[in-house]
Amino acid sequence: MELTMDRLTKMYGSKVAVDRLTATLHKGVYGLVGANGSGKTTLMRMICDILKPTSGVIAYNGTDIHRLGEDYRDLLGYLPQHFGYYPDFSAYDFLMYMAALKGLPQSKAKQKSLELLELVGLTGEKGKKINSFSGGMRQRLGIAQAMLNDPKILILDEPTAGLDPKERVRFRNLISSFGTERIVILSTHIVSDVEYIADEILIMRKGTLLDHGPVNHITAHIHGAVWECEVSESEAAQLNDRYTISHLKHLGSGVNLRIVSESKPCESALPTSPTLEDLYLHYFKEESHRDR
Amino acid sequence: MWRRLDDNQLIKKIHQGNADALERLIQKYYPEIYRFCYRKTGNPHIAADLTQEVFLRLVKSLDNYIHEGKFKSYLFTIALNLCHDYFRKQPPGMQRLDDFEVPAAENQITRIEQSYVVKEALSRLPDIQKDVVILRFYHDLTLPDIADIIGANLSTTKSRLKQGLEKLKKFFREEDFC
Amino acid sequence: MTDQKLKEILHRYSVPEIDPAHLRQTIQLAQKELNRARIYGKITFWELLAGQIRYISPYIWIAQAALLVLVFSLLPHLSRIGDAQQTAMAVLSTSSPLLALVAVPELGKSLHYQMWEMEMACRFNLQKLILLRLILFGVADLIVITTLLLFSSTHSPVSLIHLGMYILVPFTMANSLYLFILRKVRGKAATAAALSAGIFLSLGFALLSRFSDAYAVTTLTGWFLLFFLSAWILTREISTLFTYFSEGEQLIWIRS
Repeated sequence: MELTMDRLTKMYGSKVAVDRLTATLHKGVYGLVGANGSGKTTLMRMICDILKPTSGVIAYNGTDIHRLGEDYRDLLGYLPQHFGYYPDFSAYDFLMYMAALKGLPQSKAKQKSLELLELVGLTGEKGKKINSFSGGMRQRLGIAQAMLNDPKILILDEPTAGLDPKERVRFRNLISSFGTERIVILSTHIVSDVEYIADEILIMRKGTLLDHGPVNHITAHIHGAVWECEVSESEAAQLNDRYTISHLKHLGSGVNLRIVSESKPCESALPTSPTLEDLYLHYFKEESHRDR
Repeated sequence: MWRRLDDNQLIKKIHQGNADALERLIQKYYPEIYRFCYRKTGNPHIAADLTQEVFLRLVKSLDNYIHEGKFKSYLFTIALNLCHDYFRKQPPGMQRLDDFEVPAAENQITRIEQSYVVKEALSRLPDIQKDVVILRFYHDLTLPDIADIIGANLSTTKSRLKQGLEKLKKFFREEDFC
Repeated sequence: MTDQKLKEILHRYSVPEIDPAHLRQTIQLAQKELNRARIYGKITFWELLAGQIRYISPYIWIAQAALLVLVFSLLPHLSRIGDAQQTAMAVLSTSSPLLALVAVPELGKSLHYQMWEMEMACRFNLQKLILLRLILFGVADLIVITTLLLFSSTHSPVSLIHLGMYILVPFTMANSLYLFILRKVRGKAATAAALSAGIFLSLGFALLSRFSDAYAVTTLTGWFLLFFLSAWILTREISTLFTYFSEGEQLIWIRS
């Protein structure tokens, strides 16, 4: 099983959304990480054959996915970032409807729908109108529909949006058990969501693949650029203006800072081992400053 | 409602994931496939295991099953291949049918003997002739169907049957069997 | 020795009884295997179509039936007052854009309710779904139109062909317009736009048939020309619509 992207480019008018992206994916869970507007959604839509690339090719086991057509879509499960549902649908109706579009025969559709409602913890709500659902419940239902056809390629765009901490844990367990036999790609702008479940991280910025690899591989790239120091409140405020702070903890005597910086930020700073969060901040300094 | 379903309709339902249809199909063909495997291997336990394997293999291969020819022939093709695989895996010398077991329902000595003699006669045939004889005489399959199952053309099948039958007749005559 | 005799001898080779426990085990294992296996037998497009009928909002059938009842009750009364041809024309030309209008919310609902992106990634994608809905409504409309025609021909001296033209020309024109609107107007505004266009069109035809002499006396050849023109436009509109629904970027208006 191999999904390859070869110099994949997508332009909207003159704006480049995905820029000559090349990658090869095998079985496993991939965390697609990047700030808003980095091209994650556009990339995912192209992998789902919803958007046609302006140039470049996506191939599954060597064949252009667009040519595979419905055979490819049989292998595909997709959770869009924004989605709705028809207003009169109950959770069960919704799954049965999606199952039909995925070509499942009635009896199989029933069986899979009930199975997945159980898996995402909505068995008790299966007859209730989706209208009455919380954001987290809707999201779980969305994840369930993506899995109906037992997809070999599962694409989840911001799947953890709207989930509460308990639901997040449940989701992580679900995905890590799912990823052993398929290609799972999930996008997020929350690094901690994928740090522990992704076999490999893909970092996107401005439509290009900035870095990719297992977490410990890619964090090694900024070895020596993460520091920890204990300073007074006023020093902390100064450092905050000049450097990227990845973590800040108030202690009785002062402040403990974790700083991402190529150079040593202050006298008392000691190098420490980088995490994915540090790496993300390193790459997205500008964006994270802007967010503040 | 099941009564009216023929094999292809059953297969279609199984294709759609219907477990009842699968049960129905296995109930229908299990005895016949079991008899075939027994006569091929001569051992009831091995025959039972092979029969089970035939149906599991069927489920796994449904994806590739195309509605041409008879379903029954398809099932026998799987069974035949599995029996051959079984013999191929056995170390040479163990293939003979020494582990003859007394069929549970039989108790008269002469009948056991007769059963044994027929088994012995069949075992002396080369596999290619034995397969055709078993399929023709124990399972009442037509020659074209048999040709389909063993993957040979019709005239080859006919000549194998003829040779097999002559050898059997000769054997029974020499044993003074009637 | 005959073959028959040989067969008899061969059958003395008996087979032990089947172990029922083993048979049961085989069934269970096979069923487990069936459950675990990937779903192989996919339903066909026509099976999908049959299954989708229940997802069509019932209001469509109700609205179409209501429209029929309305015409049935109006036509006999109206044909007694005034010019028969003009009345038939007015009633039929006014109701046919409304008939076509009924299906618009259903056609636009994937976009309206943001289901389109999920639907596009399915085996039967949005394009097929739209085709399916068009077929369903097309058949329903055809039935309604036939009923209308048969009914009005018994209450009007006008020939069946003329009546047919009075219905079909506004019907195809209205459909082209609705599909055009669905393609051009994005999001929830599309349904509202189509609705107002439909009512406008309907009123327009009503006025036209009432006041324009040219409309009333147009020859059959003229009507045929009009019909072929509008049918051609509709065909082009449908094919454009399919291209439109096969390209996701046309549908993305929510920037992420």
